[in-house]
Amino acid sequence: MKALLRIWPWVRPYRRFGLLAILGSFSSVLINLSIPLQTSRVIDEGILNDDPRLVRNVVITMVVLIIGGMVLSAFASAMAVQLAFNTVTDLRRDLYDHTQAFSFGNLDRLSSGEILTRLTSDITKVTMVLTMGLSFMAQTPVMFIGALLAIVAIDASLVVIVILMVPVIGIVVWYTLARSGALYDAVQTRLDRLNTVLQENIEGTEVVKSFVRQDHETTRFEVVADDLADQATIVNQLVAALMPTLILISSLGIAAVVWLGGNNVIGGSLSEGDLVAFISYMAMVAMPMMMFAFLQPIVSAAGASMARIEQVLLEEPEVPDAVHGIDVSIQPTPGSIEFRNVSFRYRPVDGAVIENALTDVNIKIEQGTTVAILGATGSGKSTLVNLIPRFYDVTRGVVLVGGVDVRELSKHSLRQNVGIALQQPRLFCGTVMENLRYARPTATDAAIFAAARTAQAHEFISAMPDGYESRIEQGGANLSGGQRQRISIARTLVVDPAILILDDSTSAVDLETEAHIQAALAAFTDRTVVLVAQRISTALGADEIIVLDEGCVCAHGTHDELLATSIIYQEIFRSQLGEPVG
Amino acid sequence: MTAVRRGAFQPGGSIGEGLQKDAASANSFRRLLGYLRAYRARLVVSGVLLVVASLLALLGPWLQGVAIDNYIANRDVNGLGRIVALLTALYVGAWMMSVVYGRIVAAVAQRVMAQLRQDLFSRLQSLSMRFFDRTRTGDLMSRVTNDVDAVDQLLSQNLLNIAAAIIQILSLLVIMTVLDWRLTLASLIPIPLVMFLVSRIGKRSRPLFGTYQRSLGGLNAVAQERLSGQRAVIALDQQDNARIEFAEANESTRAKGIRAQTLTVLMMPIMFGLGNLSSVAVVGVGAWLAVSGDGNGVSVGLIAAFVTYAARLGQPLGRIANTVTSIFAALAGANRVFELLDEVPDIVDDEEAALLPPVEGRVEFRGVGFSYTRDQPILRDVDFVAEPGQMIGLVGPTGAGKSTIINVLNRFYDIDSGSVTIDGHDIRSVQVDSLRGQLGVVLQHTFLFTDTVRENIRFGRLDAGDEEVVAAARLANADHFIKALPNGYDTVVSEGGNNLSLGQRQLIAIARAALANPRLLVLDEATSSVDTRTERAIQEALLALMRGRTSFVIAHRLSTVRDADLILVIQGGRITERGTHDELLELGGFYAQLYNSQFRGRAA
Repeated sequence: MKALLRIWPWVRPYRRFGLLAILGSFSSVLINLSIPLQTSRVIDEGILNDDPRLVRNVVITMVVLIIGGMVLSAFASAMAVQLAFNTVTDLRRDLYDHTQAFSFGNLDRLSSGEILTRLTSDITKVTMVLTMGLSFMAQTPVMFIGALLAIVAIDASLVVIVILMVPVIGIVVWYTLARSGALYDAVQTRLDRLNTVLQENIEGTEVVKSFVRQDHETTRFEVVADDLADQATIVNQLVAALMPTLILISSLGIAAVVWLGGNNVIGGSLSEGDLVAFISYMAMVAMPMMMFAFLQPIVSAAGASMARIEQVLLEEPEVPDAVHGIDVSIQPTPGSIEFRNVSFRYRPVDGAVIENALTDVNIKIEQGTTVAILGATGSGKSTLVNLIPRFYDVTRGVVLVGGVDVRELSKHSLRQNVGIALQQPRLFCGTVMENLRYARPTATDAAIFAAARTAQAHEFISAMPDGYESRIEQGGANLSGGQRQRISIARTLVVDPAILILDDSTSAVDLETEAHIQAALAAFTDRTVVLVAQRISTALGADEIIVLDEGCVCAHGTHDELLATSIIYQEIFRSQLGEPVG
Repeated sequence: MTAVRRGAFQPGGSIGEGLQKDAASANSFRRLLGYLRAYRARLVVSGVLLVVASLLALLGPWLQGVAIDNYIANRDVNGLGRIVALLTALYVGAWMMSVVYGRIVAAVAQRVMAQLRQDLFSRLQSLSMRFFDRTRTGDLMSRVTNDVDAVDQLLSQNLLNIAAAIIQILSLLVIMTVLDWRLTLASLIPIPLVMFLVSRIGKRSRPLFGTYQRSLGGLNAVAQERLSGQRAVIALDQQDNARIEFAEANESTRAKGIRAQTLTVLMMPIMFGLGNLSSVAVVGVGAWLAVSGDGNGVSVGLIAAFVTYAARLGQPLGRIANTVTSIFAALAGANRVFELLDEVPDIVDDEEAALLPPVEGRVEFRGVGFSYTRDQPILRDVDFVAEPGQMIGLVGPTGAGKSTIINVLNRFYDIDSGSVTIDGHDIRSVQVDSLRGQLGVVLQHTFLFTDTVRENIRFGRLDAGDEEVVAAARLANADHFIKALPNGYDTVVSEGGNNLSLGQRQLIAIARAALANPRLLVLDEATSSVDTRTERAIQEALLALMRGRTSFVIAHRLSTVRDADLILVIQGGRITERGTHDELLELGGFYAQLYNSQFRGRAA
C-alpha cells in the first residue's frame, strides 16, 4: 500500500485530471445519495396522501438527477483514464530511461527478464489501480459519510447498528489484506520460478534434446506449476471469501434494521417510508465495503508491482557519468591506454567471498599499436578489456584513455572512441544493413561496405538471398557463429573508433578468414587494437603480447621475447602448434 | 506437408478476423470445457450451491417486504421477530454456500491452469528445432503464462460470473413477476436504452482494444529485443537511441490506451444508472398504481421490495456487460493456448520405430541433402563413412554446413534427401530418444541452467553420484576452477554470469557430456573459448574416454583435428576434400592452404 503512494511524482503533472475525476465522482455520489430521500417522499407524501401530482413531479426530478449523475460519473471515469494512462506512460518511459544508465555491473544483478516484467505486467497492474481505484476512492468516503448522515437524520437510534458493523467489517478487511499481501508476494515468486524453468527450457532446447531430458524437464515444470497452482489457490480462496462475508455483514445489518426499525415503526417513532429509505441507505453504507472487497486484490497486486518497479528505479547506475566530462577525442593521443596499479573485484552475490579478478595490473599501450592478450580460461582477459570502455569501474588504481582517467571522461566520448566487439555477439532483429548501421545511424552505404569488407563479411552478406537487405532472425539464428561474429566486428568498425577491442571475437571464424581480417585491420595504422585471443596465431602479428595469469600480468613483450623468457608462453605455444619448440 | 502444418501456428498470434475467429473461439471454448470434465462432480456441487445461494439472497428483500406489510403494519412484534430470525438464517446460509462455492471454483480454476500449462510444456518438449527457430521465446512464454492467465479469468471470474448473473436475473424476474407483474415490467423500462448503449460501446471498443494491444505488443518487442542485448547497446554507445526508440513506441500507446479504456469505463456508470432508473420506474409506476383508485393491491412494502430488487437487477447486468469484453480477451488467449497445443511436431517416431540398440558407432551419410529454407540448400550430396572408433574432423569456412551435419546426425532436423545410418539403422527408423541418448554433443552455443555447477554437470546423467560428477569435472579440466569458486560445486550459475567466463562455461558443458558417457561424441567448437593448454589436456582425456567409440570434432584450430582418422573439408555444403592430415597436406588444397597460413603466421 505504502509503495503505491510513491507514484505521486508521476501523478503530479496530471493532478488536474485527478481533481476533475474526484469532483465528478463527488457530485454523482451526492446525487445518488438523494435518491432514497426522494423515494421516501414518494411513499410518505405521495402514496399515503394520495397525491399523484407530487408523485409525478418527484419521479421526473429523480430521472433528471439520475441521468445527471450518470453523466458526471462517466466524466469522472474518463478523467481517471486520462490520469492513469498519462501517468503510467511517463512512468514506463522514466523506468526504461533509468535502465539505459545501467552498466554491466547493474545488468549482472538485474536480468533483462526482470526489467521486462516490470515494464509490462507490473505497469499494467498500476494502470488498473489508477483507472478503477481513483473514482472508487473518491466515491466511497462520500457515499459512506453521506449515507451515515442520512441515517442519523432519519433515526439516530438505528446508528448503533452501523457503529457495530464498521469495526467487524474493518477487522475482516484488515485480516484479508494483511494475509493476502504476503500470499500475493509468494504467488509472484512462484511465477518467477515457473518463468525461469520455462525460459531456460526454450533457450536450452538443443541441450535438453541432446541429452534426452524432456521427461526430466517436464517433471521439473510440473513441480513448479503445481506449486504455483497451490499457492494461487490459497490466496484466491481467501479473497473469494471476502465478498460473501461482507455481504453477510451488511445483510445482517439490514436484518437488524428491519427488527429495530420495525419496532420503532410499531412504537410510532418512525414512518414506513423512512424505514424503506433507511434500508436503501444501509445498502449504501455497505457499498464502499463491497467496492473495497472488489478492489482489494487489484490494490494488493499493484502495491507489490509498484514496489518491484521501485526496486529498479532505486538501482544506482554503477558507472555514473563524469559531471563535466572531458572529451577524449580532443586529446593528443586518444588511442593510448594505460592501466596503473589496477585491481578489480566483481561485486559479490549473497555475501560470498570473491577473489580479485585483476590484481595490480600495469599496462601501457601506445596509440596505433596492436596488443594481444593471452591467458588461461578465467585469467581475467575479458575483465581487463571491459575496464577500458568503463563497463565496470576499477576497484583500485586507474585506467587512462588518451592520458585521462576514464572516470573523468564523458562516457559518450569515451565509448565513441573505444569500439568493442563483445565475446558473445548480439545481433538485433532487422536487416543486415540495419544491424551494421546500428552504432552510427548516419553512416553512408560506402562506409558500411568498407567496414564489412574489412571484417571479411562483405562476401557472405552479398551471397545471401537479399544481400544487405536480408533479414536477421531472432538472435541471428539464420547465421553461423562465425558469420555473427564478423557482422558484429563490422558493426563496431563502422564507428571508426580510435581504439578497437576484439574480445575473442573471432573464436568461431576460421583461421584463414581471421588472418584476412587482421591484415585488413593492419591498414589502419593510427588505430590502437587490443586483441583478446585464445589462438597464438591471432596474437603473432601483435606489437606486444600480454600474458595474464590469475588476474596478474605475468609476462609481456614480443613473440620472440616471450618465447625466450616466459615459461607460460612457451607452454601455450607448444600446446597450440602441437609440436616442440625448436 | 510441413508447410501446411506450419501454417496452423501463427507466431505473434495476430488475431484473425470474422467468422474464422468466432469458430476458433467456439472451438477453444468447447475444449476448455473438456478440461473441466475431470472436475465435473465438484463443479455440479458448486453450481447447485451458487443457484441456491443466489435464490436465498433474493428471498431477502421479499421477506423484508413481508415484514413491513404483514408484521410492522399490523404491529406484530413476535411475527417480526420470527421473520427477522428467518432472514438471519437465510443470509448465513447464503454466506456459507457462497464461501464454499468460491473455494471450489478457485481450486478448480488453478488445477485446470496447471494442467493447461503442463500440457503446453510437454507439447513444447516434443516440437522440433525448426519450430524453435521460427518462434520467438517471448511469444512462447507469453502463451504459457499470460494467455493461460487470461483463461483463468474466463474460468474463475467471467464464466461463472455470467452464469451467476444470468441465474440471478432469471430468478429476480421470476420472483418479481410472482409478486407483481406490472412493477416487473416497470423495472424493465430502462433496459432497452441501456442495452443499446452497451452494444454500441462494445462494438466500438473491441477494435480500439485490438489497436491498443497491438501497440503494447510492439512496445514489448522493442523493449525485449534491446534489453536482452543491453550489453551490446552499451558497448555501441546507443543508450540515447534506445531511449528515443522506446519513447516513440511508448508514446504511441498513450492515446490508444486512453481511447480504448475511456469507452470501457463508461459501462460502469451506465449500469449503475440502470439500477437507479429501474428503481425510479418502480417507484413511479408503483406510486401511480397505489394512488389511483383502490390501490390495485400495491402496498408500500411491495414497492420497498421492488426498489431493492430493481437495484439488484442492475448489478448482474453490469457484471455481464463488464465481462463480455474480457471474455473476448480470454478466448483470444485460449485460442493462442490451443494453437500451440495443436502444433504438430515435425519429427515424430514412426509407429514401428524400434529402440536403437547400443551401437558400435559406424556412421554413414549417403547422398545427404538438406536445407533450412527451401531455396537455400545447406548440405548437398554429403557422402562419408565413419568406422567405429574413428575420430572424424570437420573443417571448413564459417557457414559451410559443418554444424548442420551434426544437427542432422542427432535428428534436430530431418534431411531432404539421402540417408543417415548408424550401424546400418536408418536414424529415421529408430526412436529419436534412443538415438540422442547414445550421442554426446557439446554444442557451439554453451547453455547452462540457473542452478548449481554440480546440478549442471549432473544433467548429463541424472543418477550420477557426487564423486562421478567430480570425476567428470576432472576429466574436463574444470575441477580446479570450480573448487576456487565462492561456493565450489554449489555455486549457482547465474544469467548475468559474471562468476564464470565463457571458457569456463564450455568446460562445464564438456564435463556434462563426459558424465553422460555416450557411445558417440560430437564436439562442435566445444573449446573455442578455452585456452589451448587446457584444450590439449581436455582432448587427451576425451580421447581416452572415446577410445573405441566414434567421435566428430568441428574446430577451426587445426591442432584440434590433426590427429583425426579422417578429416572432411566442407565448403558450400559439399565435401571437397577428405583424408588424413598428411594426405590432405599432400593434396595441396584448401586444407593445406589453411594449415600453411597457420604455419606462415608462426614464421612471421
